[in-house]
Amino acid sequence: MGCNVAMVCDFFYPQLGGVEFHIFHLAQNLLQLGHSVVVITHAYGDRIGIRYLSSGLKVYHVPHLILHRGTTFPTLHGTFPIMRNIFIREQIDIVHSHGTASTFALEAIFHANTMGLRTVFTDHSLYGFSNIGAILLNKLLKFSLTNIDRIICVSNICKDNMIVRTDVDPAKISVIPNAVVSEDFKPLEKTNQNVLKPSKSITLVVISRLYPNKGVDLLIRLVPKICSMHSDVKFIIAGDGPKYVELQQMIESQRLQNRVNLMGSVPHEKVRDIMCQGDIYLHPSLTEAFGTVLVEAASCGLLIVSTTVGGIPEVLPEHMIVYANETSVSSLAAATNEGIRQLRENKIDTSSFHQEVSQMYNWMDVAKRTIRVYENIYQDATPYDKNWLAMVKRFYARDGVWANHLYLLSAIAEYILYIVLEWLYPRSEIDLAPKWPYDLYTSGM
Amino acid sequence: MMGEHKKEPWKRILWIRQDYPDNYTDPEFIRHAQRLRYKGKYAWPSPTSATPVVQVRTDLVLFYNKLLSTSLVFIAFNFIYHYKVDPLPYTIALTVFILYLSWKSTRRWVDLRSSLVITFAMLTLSPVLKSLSKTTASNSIWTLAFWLTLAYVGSMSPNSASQTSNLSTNLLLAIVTVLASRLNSSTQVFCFLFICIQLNLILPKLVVFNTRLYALVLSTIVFTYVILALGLSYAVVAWCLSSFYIFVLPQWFVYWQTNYRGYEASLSRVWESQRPILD
Repeated sequence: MGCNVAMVCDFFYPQLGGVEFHIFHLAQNLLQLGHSVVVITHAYGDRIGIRYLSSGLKVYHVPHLILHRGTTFPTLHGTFPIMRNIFIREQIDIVHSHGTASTFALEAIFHANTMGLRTVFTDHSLYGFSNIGAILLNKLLKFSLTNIDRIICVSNICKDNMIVRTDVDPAKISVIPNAVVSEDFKPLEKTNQNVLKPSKSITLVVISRLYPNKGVDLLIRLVPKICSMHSDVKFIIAGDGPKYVELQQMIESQRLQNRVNLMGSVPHEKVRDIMCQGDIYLHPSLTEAFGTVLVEAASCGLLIVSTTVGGIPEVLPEHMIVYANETSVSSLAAATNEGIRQLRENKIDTSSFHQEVSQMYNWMDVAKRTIRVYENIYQDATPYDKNWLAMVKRFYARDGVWANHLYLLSAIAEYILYIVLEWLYPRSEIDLAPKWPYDLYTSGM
Repeated sequence: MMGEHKKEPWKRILWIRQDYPDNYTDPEFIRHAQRLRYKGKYAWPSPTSATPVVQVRTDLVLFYNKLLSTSLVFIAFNFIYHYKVDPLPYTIALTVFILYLSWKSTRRWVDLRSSLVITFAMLTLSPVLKSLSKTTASNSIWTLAFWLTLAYVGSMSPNSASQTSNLSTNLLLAIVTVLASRLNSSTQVFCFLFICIQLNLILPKLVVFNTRLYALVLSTIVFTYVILALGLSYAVVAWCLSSFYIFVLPQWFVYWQTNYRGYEASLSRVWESQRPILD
């Protein structure tokens, strides 16, 4: 029968992004497959308490102090009382957390393990080893994933990264890619000109948050270069971020106002319309775990020009994508020229892309594979998985002499807290929430 | 069973479903990870992966210079506030010196107009700055200045290539503003502001050509002051600390890099954010 899953992450609706959509679509498809899903996130503005999204997806917005870019303040034990209450009232079996940078997600794993629940963690990004932020996060992750049951990574490179970062048994880590709702990313109905006329101008689209790690510095130098090489190439750049002003300055100093359309941030439902105005999607990113946007663009029938960083080479077959073999302006310019040439000479037919992509990635497939991961936990379960003593032992064997004593201390404090909570707020006094009648709802009442 | 059809070899791609479970791991990578771990535990000293001592020392000296420049703010303040020195002639001398240096390093006169505008703005602001925190008790001012100085030191950019951030400049101005309310006249406030800006913001930009000489000159000034104002014992402690920082710490760091950092040094960079090549 279906399990009760709690998805925990700091990043969720009303904030929009890759992780947020992943959780939403995964939850929707799990509901469709007869499982019960609730989402636990922090409060966004006046969005506090319990809200319902479509198909009765229940979202708990827990009030908590927000530290930086939507991440909550790390307290280790601070979220335990409320999380315990939610897990009990929703009769949760599996806690599924998302995202290394999310404090809520990591703390939920810790609490769920203490309560003897099964835990799964999905990672969506790559982390290096050479800057202080990544080092601290890796340490925190190593602690949090000590007693994890299963890990899901969105690409093979993400899995490799995870193995090195956290030292978890590779057999516990599955690779399940992201997906797109291909109905939402359909190409325009082509009237009669599937074939590109040689005279037609070519539009390049960039949709990205304008942060340095998205390669905006490369873009700033690439745009004038391409514009000077081709007189009939236009750019559409959508997205916002700290590099927006520099991009604007480039357009003004090079006088490219009528060639480059800098749109600022656009709502997600408009993304498809913007993509459909273009012929090539340009992706100069410097790091990428999966690159959902590439799949979305290909689904809209765009040819992709991209760097080969991170998981990008795993995502799309080679006929859909032109690679720049290094993250340099000249290499990207050469790749862009190659893409323009292919389109001009009709070397490539992008009209089949939508159909192909819809067969490669869909959320139902992701949900089914995720369920297989859940089932696997129960198949391999041993009574010692969530035994406090066994878990403490695992903490002790986990890391260096300073870290493991700290881990031990945290774990023991957590267990004491659990006993206190069981005594202060006994289980028997927590009401169980009735489940949303999903079948009744879909059958139209 | 196995003999009937040979399994397709596993590929690192996601767009087709392969005949392998989702938790299949590339054996190649497992071997690679084990090698990494072995290397990490039994790493040989790897002098090639370490940074040259000279480079580390130069980086440290850059920060040392910034620290000393910051302490010049307090020395200048003390001369005006405690020793009742008239700052006007010194300000004029320093300005002439700075103008000469900037002419020498750039071979052209600085943009006179914008410099004058800023100078006059400061002149106008001086009485305001003087009265801004007049009513606050002196002890609160010293505490405030102390914390602001800590924040200023923390906000300074570690390498010389990157620009001074706005935050850092504003913190410096905040320190000066807070201290200025203890001075007696707006002329003093103006001179103090002028000296601090010249010593901390303009001078370090002009002497990039010789960091070590600059460090030597600054140390001489600061240590002379410490000996005269606080006595020899304080100076000895400060001198020990700074020579540990400049001479011992870089060696120690490089030693650590060579002998204890095998694992990190052998890690691949594929997971890091790649550097953009702006050719």
